[in-house]
Amino acid sequence: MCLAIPGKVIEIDETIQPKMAKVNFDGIIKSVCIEWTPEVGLHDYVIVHAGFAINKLDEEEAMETLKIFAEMEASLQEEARSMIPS
Amino acid sequence: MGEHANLEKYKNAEYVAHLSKAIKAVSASLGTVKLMHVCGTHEHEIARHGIRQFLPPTIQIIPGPGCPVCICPVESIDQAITLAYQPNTTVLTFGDMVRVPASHESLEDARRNGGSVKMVYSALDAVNLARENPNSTFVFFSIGFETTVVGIAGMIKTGIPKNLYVLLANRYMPPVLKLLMDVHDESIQGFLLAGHAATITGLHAYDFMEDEFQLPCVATGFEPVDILLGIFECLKLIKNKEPRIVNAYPRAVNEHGNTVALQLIEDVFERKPGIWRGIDIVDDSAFRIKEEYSFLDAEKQLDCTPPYPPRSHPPGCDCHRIMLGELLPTNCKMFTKTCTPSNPYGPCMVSPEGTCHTWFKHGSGKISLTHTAAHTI
Repeated sequence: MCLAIPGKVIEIDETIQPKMAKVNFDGIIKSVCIEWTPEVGLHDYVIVHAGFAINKLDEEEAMETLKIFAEMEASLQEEARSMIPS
Repeated sequence: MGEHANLEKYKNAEYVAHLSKAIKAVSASLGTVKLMHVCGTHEHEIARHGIRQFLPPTIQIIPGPGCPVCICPVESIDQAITLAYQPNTTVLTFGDMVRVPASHESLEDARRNGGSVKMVYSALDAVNLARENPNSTFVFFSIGFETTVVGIAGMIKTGIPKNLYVLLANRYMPPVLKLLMDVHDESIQGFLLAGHAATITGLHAYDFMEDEFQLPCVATGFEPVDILLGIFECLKLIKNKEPRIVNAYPRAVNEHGNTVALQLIEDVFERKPGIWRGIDIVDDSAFRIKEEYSFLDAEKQLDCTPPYPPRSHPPGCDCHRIMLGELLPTNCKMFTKTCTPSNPYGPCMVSPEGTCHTWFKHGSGKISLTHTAAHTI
């Protein structure tokens, strides 16, 4: 029950309190409360726990993390090359 | 980008292989290192993906008290059971809680014996049920860490029907790290912080680990690459003797957390010392409903005192030592023999987030011959 999963906001209903959204979890659409993540807009990714969005997923940061992996890959290849006796 | 926020990248076998190599390289000069995680989902994902097979044998990842169902005090479950037997009263709670053994019986047993217990997915379901049945009394038995507390606080702040009460047994994770340092005689060299609890609190909630204990802590995500990156970052900090709090899950965690949610939690709850089942009383770790909302506090408004004393653990049960990371499930004589998911003896075997349940289902994660990335290293 501690599990929190990411999904994409595909519809927002501003008319009810607390504010609700339809969130797509890889094809499964569920109603989620987004009242306490006010910066969340349409098409954003959110982390959802027990029916409530708990934070927005930052796509720019996600890309940054992936860049770190790409750099790590490059440095490991460099290291591997340097270990080959010339 | 697909509907899953690039998550496929975080399962990428090549990244896993590279991180595994990088972990071997950074740990070569370190000797044995003991890291602890404090999240049931971390153990579940570590075991399910066979993460331990990508680590050198000197790097131990110990599961800590990260299963909210397992650490829920037996006293609170006894109170919920007592309420379930009250006339015209229904206890609502998350599915995992229903089968957890308490002092005499579980909520499931109570339901079989005439008590009224219903499972809900969310606190919002509890509000809807109470609204649809205005002549019945409902009690939402609330458990969980920071992630769950947001929804409960929001529900209370928005206003709930008069026939709905809250029995609150939620716990706050950061202070238990101090207790774990003590229990393990400071032999833990770093913590992998639960990424989703940290998305609420932010990294600053853990600053005391740097100030008081000079111990590295890394906020860690839940995909295979996230977990290995968390381990790698933690080992790097240990190697460089930098006892800092680092964020290896930046797409979800920041320094200050979800400030709107934190304010909401502060408006509705305060924190007091609280029992963690079989472990101890931990200062500042129990959420309590503030006085101004006492009209919906089940402990204050309803008769929930059980007619028997609490008994945390049945004889021979090692769950409390497993939750503390002192023992592994395989050290318990009952594990897989007299304690199984279909017939659980202790709380760690009940919840899918309990270490014993996870190890029963997936093993410890040391051997996973079917793992997709296994052929790449």
